[in-house]
Amino acid sequence: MASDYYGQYMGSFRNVITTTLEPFERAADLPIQLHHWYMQGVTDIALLESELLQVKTENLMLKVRLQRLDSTELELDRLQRLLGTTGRMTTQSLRVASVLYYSSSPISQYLTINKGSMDGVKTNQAIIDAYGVLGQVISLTPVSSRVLLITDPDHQLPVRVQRTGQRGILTGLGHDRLNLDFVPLSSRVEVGDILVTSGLGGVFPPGYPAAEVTSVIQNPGMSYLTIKAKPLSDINSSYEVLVLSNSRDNNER
Amino acid sequence: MSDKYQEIELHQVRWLVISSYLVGIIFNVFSLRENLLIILPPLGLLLVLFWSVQLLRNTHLITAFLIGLLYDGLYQTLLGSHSLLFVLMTFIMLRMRLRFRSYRLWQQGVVIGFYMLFYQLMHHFFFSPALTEQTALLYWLMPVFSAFIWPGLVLLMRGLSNRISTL
Repeated sequence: MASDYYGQYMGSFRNVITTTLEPFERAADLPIQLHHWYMQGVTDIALLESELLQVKTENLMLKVRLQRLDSTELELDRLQRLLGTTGRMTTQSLRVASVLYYSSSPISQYLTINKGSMDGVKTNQAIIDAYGVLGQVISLTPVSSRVLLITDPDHQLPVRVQRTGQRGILTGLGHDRLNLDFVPLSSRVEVGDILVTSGLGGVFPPGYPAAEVTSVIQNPGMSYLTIKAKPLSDINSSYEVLVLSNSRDNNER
Repeated sequence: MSDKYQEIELHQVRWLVISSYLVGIIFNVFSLRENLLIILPPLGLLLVLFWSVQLLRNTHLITAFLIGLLYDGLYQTLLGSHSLLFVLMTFIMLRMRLRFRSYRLWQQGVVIGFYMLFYQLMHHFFFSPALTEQTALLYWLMPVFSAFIWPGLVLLMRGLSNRISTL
C-alpha cells in the first residue's frame, strides 16, 4: 500500500490487475451491447439520413474554420520566430479512440478507451474530446486503457484563467463538479470565465480548454476564493476521443 | 432443501467457488456502469464470507486478499485497501463461523446486515466517497439490502454445491 501511495512503483502491477479485470468488464458490457445491437436494427433509415446531412454540414463548417486556423497558426509561428521565442508551440500527434464504457462510483470516475499499449498509448497521456480536456491515461492493458476523468475526486489539473492568466489548480469533486483552488482573493475571476490548461504539471499540454467557471464566492477570513466550475468536455456522452502525445516522445510525425 | 450445512470439501466444489467469484465481480462491474446500483453490496466479499462458513478446512484469507486486489483495480483505489478491508471482515467471520452456522437463515441475514454496516463505515472512512443526496441514501441502504439477499445467496449456493458434490 505504501509503495503504491508514495510512487509509481506499482504501475505495472496495476496494469496486470486491469488486464485481469478486462474480461469481467467485457462480460458485464454484453447486455448493453445486445441492447445497442437490437436498437441499431430498428433505427429508421430516414433518421440516419438526416443525421448524415447534419454531420456533413457540420464538417463543412469545421473545415472552413480550420482553414482560417491554419493560416493563423502559420502567422503565429512567423511572429514567434521574429520574437525569437521558438519552440513554445510543441506539436502534438493525435490518435482517435472510442470510448468502451464509463465507470463512475462515488470513489472514482474513469472511462475505458479501445486503444492500449499495443497501439502505443502510454500512461499520463492527455485525453481530449471536441470541447475540451477529458482526463489522463492511468493504466493500460494491451488493447484498452483507463482514463481518469478530470472530475474524479483524486484528479488535479493545473489551469489558468484564459482572460486574465491567473493560475490555479482544478480539483475534481465527483459527479461532474469541479473546484478551482488556490486563487487569491485579489484576483478577478468572473462567472463564465474559461479555464485552460497551463501545461505547468508537464502532463497536459498548455492551451486546451478544460472548464467554465459557474460560481465565485468570496468567504471573509479565507485566503483563497471559493470557485466552482463545470467541465467543458462532454464527460458523460462523448463517444470519440483523442489521445494526445508529444511528438518529441515518439517520432511519429 | 435442509436448513443445515453439509460437510463439503473444497476440492469437490473448486470450480463452483471460482466461478461464483467471477459472477460476483461481474455483477459489481454493473454497479460501476449504473449509479443506482450502488446499493449492490460487494458480492465478492459476501461470497468469501459464505465459503468461509461453508468450507471449514480453509481460512480463505488469501482468497479474500486476492479478491480485494481485484476490487482495488475495479474502483481505482489504493492497491491493498479493499484487500485489507476484505481480510479484516473475513477474519471477524472466521472467529465466529461455527456459531454463525447454527443460526437460522434470517438471523444470519441480520448478522450480515450488521457486518456490512461495519464494512460500509470503514469504507466511508477509508475512501471518503463523494455522494449526492440520492446516492447517499442508497449507499447507506446497502447493509439492509445485503441482509435481504443473504438468505437467497445461501440457498442458491448451498443448493448448487450440494448438487455438485454428490455428482
